[in-house]
Amino acid sequence: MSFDASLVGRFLKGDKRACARIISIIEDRRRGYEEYMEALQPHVGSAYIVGITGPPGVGKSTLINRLAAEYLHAGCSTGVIAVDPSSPFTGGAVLGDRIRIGEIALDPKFYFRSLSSRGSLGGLSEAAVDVIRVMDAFKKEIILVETVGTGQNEVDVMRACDTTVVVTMPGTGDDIQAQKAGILEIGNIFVINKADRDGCERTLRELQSMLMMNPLNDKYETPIILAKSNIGEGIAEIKAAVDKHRIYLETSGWFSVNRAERNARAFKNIMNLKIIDEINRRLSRAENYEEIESQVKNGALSPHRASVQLMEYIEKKILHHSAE
Amino acid sequence: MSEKIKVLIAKPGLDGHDRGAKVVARAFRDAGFEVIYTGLRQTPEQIVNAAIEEDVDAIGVSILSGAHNHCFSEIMNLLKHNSIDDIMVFGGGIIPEDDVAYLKSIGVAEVFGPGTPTDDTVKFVKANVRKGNE
Repeated sequence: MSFDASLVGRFLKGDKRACARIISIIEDRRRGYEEYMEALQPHVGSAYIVGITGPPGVGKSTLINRLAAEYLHAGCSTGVIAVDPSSPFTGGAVLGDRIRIGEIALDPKFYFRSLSSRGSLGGLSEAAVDVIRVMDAFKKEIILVETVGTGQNEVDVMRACDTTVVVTMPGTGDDIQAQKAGILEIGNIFVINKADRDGCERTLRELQSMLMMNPLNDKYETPIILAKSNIGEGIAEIKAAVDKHRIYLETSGWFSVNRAERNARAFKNIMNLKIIDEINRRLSRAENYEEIESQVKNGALSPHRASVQLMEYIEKKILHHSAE
Repeated sequence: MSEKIKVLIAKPGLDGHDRGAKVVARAFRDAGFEVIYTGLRQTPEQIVNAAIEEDVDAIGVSILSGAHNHCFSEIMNLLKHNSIDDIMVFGGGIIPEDDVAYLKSIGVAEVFGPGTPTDDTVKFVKANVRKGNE
């Protein structure tokens, strides 16, 4: 399929179907998807991006839909991108985050898109960063990004968003200890959801003591918000906290620094993936590739030895050949 | 490049029995599809809006309440109204033979009654969506 300028034209006029189709092209990495990214590039940059992350079952979906409603009521054009895990066996996925959308579903200023993580382990999918950019170009003022239920290391969201909200709930005391070095480091705002449950006080104290160990920042104090998002409690406070963090980023200069780093990282990630794909493609044509692979499988050759052999091949046949 | 077939599994109307819808959703997942499940009591407007936003290839409608003629024709009308002709609609549930003929006449691709092996449904969708035929 080749680049369709009329699709972009419809997109820029605010046609939801055109937006949906362009997201698919980009998510699937269909041939020529870069041209669409390029065409949208001049329209990217005005959205504010909020990531919502935390363990499975703490109520992220409910919270995000309440928060979206809060933004819509304030007159903000709002997008949600919700990532759910893909099956490691079939690559298929059941994406169920739409279940929590309430009466805002048909609001013309609202756009909700589900994404499968498609094997990515960082909490988002590889294409999520680009899908965020598409929604940005689609004139969403606020984009809420929900990660898959995260454990310790799924920190992609921090890199893709301006403000990261980490959601937890009472009774996760030991988890908090375990997560200290993981997602608890990336939160700009913490939410203890389901705050009417037993153990809320304890979870609050543990979070507070953990935050006290963070490097001191006299310009920004990381808030902890108690919420019951099923009944909407704490949602206005979360929105206010996001606004406050945004002001901090903008007045301290971090906003533009973070965004510049994000662009640089996106470039690097794209290049890495393309280089790996290209090298693998050429490598698979090496005359003894299958032989080496089968020797590795049956144990006759160690993976390390095999990698040395193939690196030599890459060096001699692929890199030198291209340089000529 | 990984083009996945996307299917929306929708439950319109007021019945709360979504076991069948969930079993079918799971079968599609196991066949490598991406399934968007929207939950109970969706209006035809919500179903078509979700299909548009998610850019799905097919909508599977599960309905047990007896309101199938009404719900399906609303969905087909909304698709037509939005000039959408590349999303296949199929259905499942307790739907009498006579009504199946009517549903097919308004553009529903197939109706799968109780006892249909999920494999049959998956195969049918794979063979008949636009993406599968490209």
